[in-house]
This record gives sequence, C-alpha cells and structure tokens, in this order.
Amino acid sequence: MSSSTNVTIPVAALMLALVAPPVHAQSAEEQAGDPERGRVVYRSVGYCGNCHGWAGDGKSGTNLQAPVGPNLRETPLDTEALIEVIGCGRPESPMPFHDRAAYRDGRCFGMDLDDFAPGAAPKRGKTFSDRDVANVVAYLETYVIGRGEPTFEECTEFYDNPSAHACSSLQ
Amino acid sequence: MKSHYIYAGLIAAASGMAHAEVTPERLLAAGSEEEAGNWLMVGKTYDLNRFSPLDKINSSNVEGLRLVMAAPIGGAEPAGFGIGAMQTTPLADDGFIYLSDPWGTPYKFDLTSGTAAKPVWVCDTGIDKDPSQGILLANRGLALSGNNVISVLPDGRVVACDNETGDVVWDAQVATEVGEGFTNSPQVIGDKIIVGQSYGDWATRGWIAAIDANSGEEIWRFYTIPEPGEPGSETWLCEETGNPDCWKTGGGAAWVAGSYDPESNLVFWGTGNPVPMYDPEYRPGDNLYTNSTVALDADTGEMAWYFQYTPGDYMDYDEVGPALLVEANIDGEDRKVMARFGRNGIFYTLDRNSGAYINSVTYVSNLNWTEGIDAKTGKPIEYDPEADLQTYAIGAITRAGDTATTCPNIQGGTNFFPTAYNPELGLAYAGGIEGCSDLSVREVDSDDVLPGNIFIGGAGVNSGEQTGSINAVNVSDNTIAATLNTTYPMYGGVMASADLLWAGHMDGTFSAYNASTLEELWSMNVGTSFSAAPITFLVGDTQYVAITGGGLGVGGGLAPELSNMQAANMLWVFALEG
Repeated sequence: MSSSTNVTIPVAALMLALVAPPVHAQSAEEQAGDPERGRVVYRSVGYCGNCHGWAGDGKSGTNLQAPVGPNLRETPLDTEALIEVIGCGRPESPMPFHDRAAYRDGRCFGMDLDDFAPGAAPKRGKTFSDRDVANVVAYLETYVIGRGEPTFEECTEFYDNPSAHACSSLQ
Repeated sequence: MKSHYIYAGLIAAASGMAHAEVTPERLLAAGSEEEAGNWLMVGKTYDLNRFSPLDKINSSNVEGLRLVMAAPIGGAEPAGFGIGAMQTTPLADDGFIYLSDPWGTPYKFDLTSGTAAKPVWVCDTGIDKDPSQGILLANRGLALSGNNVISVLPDGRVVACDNETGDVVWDAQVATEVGEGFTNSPQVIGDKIIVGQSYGDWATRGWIAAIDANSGEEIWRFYTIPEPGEPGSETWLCEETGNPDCWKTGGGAAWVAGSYDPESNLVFWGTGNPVPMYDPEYRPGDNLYTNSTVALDADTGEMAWYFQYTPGDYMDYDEVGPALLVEANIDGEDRKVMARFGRNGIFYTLDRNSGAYINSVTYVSNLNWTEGIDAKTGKPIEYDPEADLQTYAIGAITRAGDTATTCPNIQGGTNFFPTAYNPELGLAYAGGIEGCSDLSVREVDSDDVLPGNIFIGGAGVNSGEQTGSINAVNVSDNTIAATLNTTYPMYGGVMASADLLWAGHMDGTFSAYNASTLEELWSMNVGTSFSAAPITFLVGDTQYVAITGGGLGVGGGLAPELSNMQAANMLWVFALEG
C-alpha cells in the first residue's frame, strides 16, 4: 500500500496542477470545519472514542483494549494545538497521528519516523484529510470542549440513534 | 470415491431430511458408540472431554489430510469494541453442522454431499447489531434440544430455532438488567437449558439460570455474588468503601458453559473475576463466588460446593474455563475428579463430589504471582483469610500508585479456551498464553460506575512479547507429560481424537499433534485466526474434522504483529485424501 501511495500522490497532484483552476485564498468561512462532519469522523472514521470515549471525557464508552485518553472536555489546547496533535499525534504517548503525510515531509516537528528510537515513534492512526482534521477540531470546539457531564441527549445525538445501547445507562 | 459420495447423498435423501430428535437420552449417550459419528454438544459429552473415539484419521495417515469443504459465515459487523471473536464450537448430527456467529446467529450447513458445505438456513434472531454497544462480542456455540437449536445472544435473549426450517420457535428475554447478556453456549440437561450471564466486567452481577427447554421460562437462578445476609456476603466488605452497594456490580460472570455429572446431577460452572478487576480497594474481601467453580444441583440451582481459586483477585484470573470430569486413579484409589487448567497458570484436580482439593501443578513456564499452592487447602500460600485485601507474591497494586507485573498474562494461562481429556492416555490438554502483564490501578468514583459500561478500575498491559504453549498433563499424578511451545499465544481450544490432539493457531495454522508427545504431524495455514475448538464427526463412513476461524476479538492484542489479518469468518472442513 505505502509504495503505491508514494507513487500515485505526486502523479495525482501533478494532474491536478495541470487541469485544476488556480487555488484561491479560502475565506474564513471556507476554512472553518464542519462540526457535524467532524462528529462522524470522530465516531466512525478515527474511532477516537476508543480512547477518549464517545463523550470525549476519557471514560464514557472507552474501549477495553485501548489506553485511556485525556479528558477533551477539559482540554486547554487551542485550535492550532488541536490541529497539530490530531495531525502529528503525540510522540511518547499512545496518541496516534492522522495526517497522511505526517513524518514524511517534515510537517511534523521536522521529523521522520526513522528519527525516533526503535519503538518510540508515534503510532499511525486512521488517515484524515486536512479538511477532516479541521472538521474534527470544529466538532470538539462546538460540542465537546468546555461541556460538563455527558448527557443522554448528547449520547444519542453522537450515535445518531435514539435507542443506542451505549446510551442506555444514562437514561 | 465418487460412489461413496453418492452413497452419503442417498442416505440424506432417504431420511427425507427428517432429523432424529435430539432427546435428553441422546445427549446423555453422546459418548456412546451409536453417537461416535456425531458431536451433539460443544464439549462432545457432558464431561467436556472433547474426546472423539473416531480413529479413521490417526497418526499413521494424518499427513494426508486436506481441505475438502469451506463456507463463509457472517456476523463480522462490529460492536463498539470492534469485530467479534469467532469462538463457536460447531455441532454435528447426521451430516449436518450447526454453528453460531459472534452475534449468536445460528447457521445450519448440509455436508452430506462431501463436496460442499451447503447452507440450509440462517436463523434470524432479530438481533440489533448496534455498533455503539461497547461490548466484547463472541458466541461459543449452540445447543441441540429436541427439534430446536438453541442460541444465547449478547442482548440477553435465549432463542430456539426450528431444526428443520430455521424459524424462531420461542424467544425469551432471560437477562433483563442493563449490561447483562450472553456470550457462552447454552447447556441442555433434560427439559432444562442452563445459561450464564456473561458480561461481568460491564458492572453487572453474575448469575447462572435454568430455563424451560420448551418455553424459555425461568425455573431457577443462582447469583454468583450473594446479596447482603446470604452466605458468602461476608466476603464483600463494601461498607468499608463508603459504597455499600459494591457487590451489585461485583461481576463473577459465568461466560463459559459448564460440565455435568448425571450421577450426582450436579453442573460445574466456572465464574469470572471480581469487578473492577484491577481495583480491590473498590470491593475488599475474598469476593465469593468469583474466580470459583460452583457445583449446582441441576434441578434446583442449589449450591453443593464451591472452590475459589484466587481470592480477592487483582490479576483478572477469572476461572470460567471448562471443568473436565475425569475418572482417575490417584494414589491407588479410583476417584471421580474435576480437572481444570486455571487461568492463573495452575492445573488443579478436585474431588468432584465434595470440591475437596486433591493436587495441582504449574503448567505455564513463568508464574510469579504466588510462591505455590497450599497442599491442604489448595489456596495460594500468600492467602490470608483475615485480610481485607490480599497481597500475592508480586505485591499489591494500589490506588496510591503501587504497580506490579504478573505472570501469566492477565488473559491466562488458559482462558475460556476449550480443553480436552484423552481417557485412553489419561492426559488433559490445554493451549494458552506464555507471558506477563503490567498491572496498575485507576480509581473510579462509584457515581461514575454505570451498568453496561466497561468497568475495570485500572490497566493490565502486555509486559513484553507474548508467546504460547500447549500442555499435556497426566491427571493421576499431576505431572506435565509434554509441552509444545508456540510462536503465538494459543487462543482457541483443543480437541482429542484417538491418538491425536488438534489445535488452531492465531496465525491461521491448523495442526494435528501426536497425543502423547505433542510432536506436530500435520498442519495447514488457511489464513483465518483461530480462537475456536475443532470437532470431528462422520458423514457416512468418512471422518471429517471441522473448525471455525475468523475474528480474534480481545485476543488480537496479544500478537500485534498479526494485526493486519482480517476478520473473515469461515467454516473449514478437512478429510483424508480419496
């Protein structure tokens, strides 16, 4: 997989450069992520809830097999820091990276995976597009950070299912 | 060869597809010569010996074994903790195979052609495959009862499907509390079906119940955690914690079906760990009847005896694994023995009529949590009956920050893995894990403990690389007769037939071994992880061996290098060349 990715991405980028209109500066609105899409990415693309819980509190609905993640409802991280942590992961911690080019072109702390001691390199998480990184950040900033105790309504909204089993204990 | 297959087909056609009813008498005679070609219950016989006398496939010809039939099985839709584990032991009756997928859905296959495993029906239980549900999905097999095929489901229902049509005959919501459900297999005895609540680590209270085989109506229930005032409740010192209700979420799940002795009418079920598994300060005391074998009267559910292996556990050494019922000559005396490979790394023999300890031997290569077993009581020698919190040889793990490394791994030793006994050789067999786990406590406020949510109170992570082994233990003197070390942890079960032992490996290899020496005689890699036990049976006069492979569930964490193996659930069937 990785070898074909290495070949196809530059080709695709070249094709795009030849046929696509010039990229214009995005407006602030265009740059802002979509929190609803971010919820879907958090839930069923990145499976972020395995460690952070569906509620992002590091306990509600975490996976038995996953390490316990920090409580995102109380995170002090700002937008820029959230983008960096989601994209590049946190070296020396179980937080994986999600940027498809992380540790390949210097975008993450100027490092490659080979620069880490054996076993110390950040782990690969599910791959997000740049857009989806922004969407997850928007989701966290809209629905998670600063919220108090998780509620039944939040839970059913998260799973998009009014009778989700995961929410029954909150009823 | 061709004529043989035609012959098998004619037999099926001549029988008009009408099955011989699986009566209580047939189940009692599951080990008889008449039933030698069938596999009527997950353990083959009520003693769970998983021993087949069939010997057409044996050590002299097993090298000619080949894959002859295969069929895909569904149920790979994930729950909240991922894709379920394919742990079902198939059943075989008159050339038909019955098995369940990880959501408990029953399947019937027709193998009478000898060339294809033809799906006959899939019983639609109406299970809600809700991906939000944070549970470990697994189902360890079905039961045959009269004209019904019985399955237990993760949503707490027990369902009977018609053997001919696959239609639901009855459907009983036996487990009704939030978080309760089933992952094991049902145990049919006479007109009753015994089931065990399986989701202890989800902050529930374990129980074993008997229901009416014709209606699903509950007849008796035995709670594995006594309520205040009942015998055993003195071993839950909940008042000391400020949470007098700690027993209500105390676990002790009964997530593997037990064995049964018709002579004493006792069933022998194992019970799971106390909950939370890593934080004994949440539930001080010995925590009866967790980590125990309980012997219950099959008619009333009344407890005849119990034996607790690891009191006041903090190493997740629950003891649900099968209790083998064995006749053994011990010190010159013929005794009725219960032989068990403990998840705690120790093989035990008990008197199955009284529960009295007889002997034990450590079967894993590295065991450090205890210095040994008291020869009189069978308890770990560090055990202090006066202590609120036990401290085993590895030291305590505490909320104050003390950590420890325990060997074997928290998943065992053995685990739910089906074990086997070859009565002709007097050998008991189990596959298991060789390795250790790092333990730590993470205090959880009782207000945050919600039934249905996983509640472990800490962490137990692999301490370095985990490998595996298969052990053969001589039951009469508790000596290790043979050990086979394996590259990966053994996470499925074993099956004994004549002079062979069979086991599937995590990396997709299915193997046959010399039953005395465990020397490998045949193997084939089919590419699906194995966490189930094989069976052997006849169609016509051809002997087959079958096993299911697919999802590994929580076992996958033991071998990260195999994480790219996909969870495609399959039935594999083997036979000799022409």
